[in-house]
Amino acid sequence: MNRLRKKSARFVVIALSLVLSPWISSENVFALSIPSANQVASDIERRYHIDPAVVRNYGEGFNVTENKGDAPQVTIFFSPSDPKDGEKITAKAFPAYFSNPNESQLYYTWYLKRNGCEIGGGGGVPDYCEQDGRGGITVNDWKVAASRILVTDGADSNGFVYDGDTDSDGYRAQFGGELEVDTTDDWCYMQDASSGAFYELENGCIHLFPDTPNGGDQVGGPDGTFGIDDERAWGTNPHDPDTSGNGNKDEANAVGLGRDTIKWNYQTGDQIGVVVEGKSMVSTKHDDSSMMDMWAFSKNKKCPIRSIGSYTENIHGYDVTFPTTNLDQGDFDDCLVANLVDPMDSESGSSKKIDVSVVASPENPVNDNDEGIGGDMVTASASLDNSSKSASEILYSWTVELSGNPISGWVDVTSELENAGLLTAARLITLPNSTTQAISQNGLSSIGISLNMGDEILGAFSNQDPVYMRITTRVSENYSANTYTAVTESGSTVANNAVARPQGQSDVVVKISNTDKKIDVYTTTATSAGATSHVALDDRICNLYYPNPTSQAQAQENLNRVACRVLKNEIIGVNVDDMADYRNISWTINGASLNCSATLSPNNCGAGGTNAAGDTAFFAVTGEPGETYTIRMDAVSTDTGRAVSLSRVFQIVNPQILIDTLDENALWAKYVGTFTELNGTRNDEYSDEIFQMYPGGSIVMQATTLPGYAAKYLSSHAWTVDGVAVADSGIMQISYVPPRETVVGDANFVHFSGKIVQPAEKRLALLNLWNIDALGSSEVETTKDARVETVENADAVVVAGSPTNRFLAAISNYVPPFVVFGIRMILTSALLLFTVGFVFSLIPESSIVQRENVRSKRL
Amino acid sequence: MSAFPLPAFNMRRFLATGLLVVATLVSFRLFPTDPRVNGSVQAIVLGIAFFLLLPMAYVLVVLKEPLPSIGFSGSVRKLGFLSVPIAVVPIVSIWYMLLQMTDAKTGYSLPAFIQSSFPFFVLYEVFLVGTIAFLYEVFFRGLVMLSWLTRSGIMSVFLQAALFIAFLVVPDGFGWEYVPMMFAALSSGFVAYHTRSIYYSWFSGWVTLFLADVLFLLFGR
Repeated sequence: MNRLRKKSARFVVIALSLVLSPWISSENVFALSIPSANQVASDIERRYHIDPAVVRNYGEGFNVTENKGDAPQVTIFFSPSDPKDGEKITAKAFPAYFSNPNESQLYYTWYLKRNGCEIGGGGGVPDYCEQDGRGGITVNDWKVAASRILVTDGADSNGFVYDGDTDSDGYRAQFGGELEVDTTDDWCYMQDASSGAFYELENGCIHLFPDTPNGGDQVGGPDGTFGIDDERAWGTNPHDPDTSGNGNKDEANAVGLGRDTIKWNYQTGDQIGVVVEGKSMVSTKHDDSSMMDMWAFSKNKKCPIRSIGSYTENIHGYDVTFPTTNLDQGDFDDCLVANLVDPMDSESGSSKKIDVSVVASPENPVNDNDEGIGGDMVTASASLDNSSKSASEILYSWTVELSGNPISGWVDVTSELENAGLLTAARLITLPNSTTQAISQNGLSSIGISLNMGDEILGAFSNQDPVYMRITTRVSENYSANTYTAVTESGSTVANNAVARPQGQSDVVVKISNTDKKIDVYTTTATSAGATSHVALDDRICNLYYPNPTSQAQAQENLNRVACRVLKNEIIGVNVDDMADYRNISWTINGASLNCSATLSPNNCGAGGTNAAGDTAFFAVTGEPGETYTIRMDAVSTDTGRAVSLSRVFQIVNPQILIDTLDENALWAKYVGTFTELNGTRNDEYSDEIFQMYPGGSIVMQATTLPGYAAKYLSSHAWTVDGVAVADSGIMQISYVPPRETVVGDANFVHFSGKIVQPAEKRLALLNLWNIDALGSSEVETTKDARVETVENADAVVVAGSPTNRFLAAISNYVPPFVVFGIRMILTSALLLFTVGFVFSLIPESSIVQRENVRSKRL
Repeated sequence: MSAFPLPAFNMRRFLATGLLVVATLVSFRLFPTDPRVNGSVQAIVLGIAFFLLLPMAYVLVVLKEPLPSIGFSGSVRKLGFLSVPIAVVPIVSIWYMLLQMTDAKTGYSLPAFIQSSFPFFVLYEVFLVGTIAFLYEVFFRGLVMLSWLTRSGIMSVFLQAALFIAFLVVPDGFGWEYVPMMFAALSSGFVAYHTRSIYYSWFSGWVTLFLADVLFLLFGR
């Protein structure tokens, strides 16, 4: 027993020691005090890392949350977005911030203001503006105009018999849209656009539905009937509850239940609006489940709040104040007028701005300020992203400006370029509401600028290098009847019926090397000794330009200004003349460095050679046909310190043969038709494979190579006509008379074949210097076929002249030839018969006949 | 001598018919062809119009005479059938001799498909040769000989043949392929002169051409 007591006492002592030991051993224990609320909050703040400034912001925002409620909104989208007169246009409303479960439960009150149907009207108002039969033009006329479309869907009321109303198509509208369960009172609100505060309508809820024409009540009224007078007034079928066939009763359609879409035939000047009634997402302060009944207006312009007041209700023991406004019918009508939408107006969501982008090529063009013939051709092209119009319905207006820097100081040189013939289009007009002159044409989506600008165009920039060119295009869709005056290049004034509202503008700035320097291109010669090869510049190529080409070869040569065409496995040399006063000359090919050393070309790149250091470079054409190279040279003038950049584009092509006539009087390319450009320019087109000649003529032809320098690599070539070998009459020329004299309808077939092969030394150089295997530089056989037709007349088609001539020409073209032949034959026969008959009638009957006749009668 | 009396001479008729003949031949030669239409088709269609329909229209509309005035009539049957062999046999004999003695063998030719196919040969001879022969009969024997040159007596046979030969040869030059037609012009002319019917002369001309081809096939190849 004592033992048990001792154990118990020992346990108590140990337990007390354990409990009290902290209190005894620590001084801080006695610093504790009762914490304040502020201290507790601070403890919490520290514990959870809460920033008091942020909390303060939340609190301040919370104070005005009441004014931040999202009032209902609606947006109208039109299809098409740019309707033409008479075209059916669809307007669809997209409401937002309504709490109604389904958008079909909302009331869409459309109102359509046709062109000229202004409020109040007057003597000049068209009759169709008066829709409700109440005299004068009011907003209700607009509502009726729209509701009639919805109610009847175009049905002709003349076919309806108004002998009684049997269809029970009335509808009682609820406030805030159609609800499955309507257990609350209705509270209509309007939000103040500036403060965001919600005001309750002082006089209770109303609808903005149209009043029935001819003095009837507002549709959707509490009686829920749609009587014979209403049917007649709206033009609905009194024996069909759903005249429009959309599943709604007629009166439900009149109030716009779920009618989010309306279609009508658009006329310029038409405007439309919609008011959507429904339950907002903002709750009222009333002691019930009500949400604010509100309207969304088509432009989301809220009605101005007038006659502000308030009333107080005690709710749950507290006095709650309700701000009110007193809006009358006139206020709402003003609001509806302010929310009219023009389908062509960008504010409705139909884009008025056309997204345009302009690109220009080449990258570093060179202006030839010296000779004025060797400059590059800059091509600027515009593309549109959001226009549904075809190219011919887009009016492009191009202007060109110059500056010494890429940012500012632009000087318009459009007219100067046009006068100098340096633009590919030439219809200079004065832009509307501006003094700016531009090259303007429908469908002119690109424009070419020949950079052969002399001092008279460059003006103050003539001594600057580089010069910056800003090419601007203004585009607009054509559909308006508005006009503006345009001045043609000849100075005459013309009316341009092509002002359009959807428009756009964009530009591109091109850096131009304004120098007389240019990259010359050369073929090369090669010398090889064992594994060592050298190259040197040979003949200059891609340097010719024919302003008025008269042959295929000349036209093709002109294209070399844009991209110099070279053959695969060719060694090309590039050189810039007279570079002694330049330093830091560097060459690149497609961005990669291009060097030339004495090892490669002792003559052109070595010390003591014929060229200045660095002015020459060589490259092997190792790509495939279709690929391009861009050669660029950069240098700095030692005199002025200015940098100069030159570039040249090369395109790899397969060798081709062109066959052309030697004498256009004897043999000519066949006329194949007319090509009409987007700007309306008509160009005659001639075949490059079919030629024509007169009966008994001789075939006089010449062959050229493309590229032209490939001719010197022709190791052999041969002509045949109808399979018979024909010897050259000149260099790659024939003058051949077929053994049998040709007659109309004959055809002779000409064939040219040639083998193009690089000289062996050059092939060896390709191998030694660029590791191009000899198999890669083997010979290429190229051929060309042509047909020569013997005709009676050249196929010249005269399309100019009167419409009658064109009509007859069209007939002669399309009528089968045997019919034409038959008509000619019949007419000839008739003419012969008539002529002989006429002559016969003129000749008097001879006396011999008379005597013979007398004798015959006696017998 | 013709078995039929010569009609009275009519200067107006003579001049008008002569004008028609010359104008028709010139028009035929100068008529513009369309390279898009087969040349042979154009020639046959034009021949039907100029050598058949135009003379018929002329006789009916301008001269206001019946078609028998240009040979569209029968004749004394015995005379007709007798005159055909009398005219044809000598002509064909001459052609045979030409085939044997001259270059006619090489100069004359027939299309290969005619030579190699009997059905085609028959079709060719019956339809093509017959049709073309008929056109020439109407124009040269009917209009030219019986209507225009009728007062020339037997000379009209040679005159129409000369005109026919000139029509063949002058533009294109002589060719052996024309020789049977020249002979046929003579034989048909004689038959037409004696019978005043182009039906017998047509038969005569067709037989001449047919036999010429047969002889060529038999002895000319």
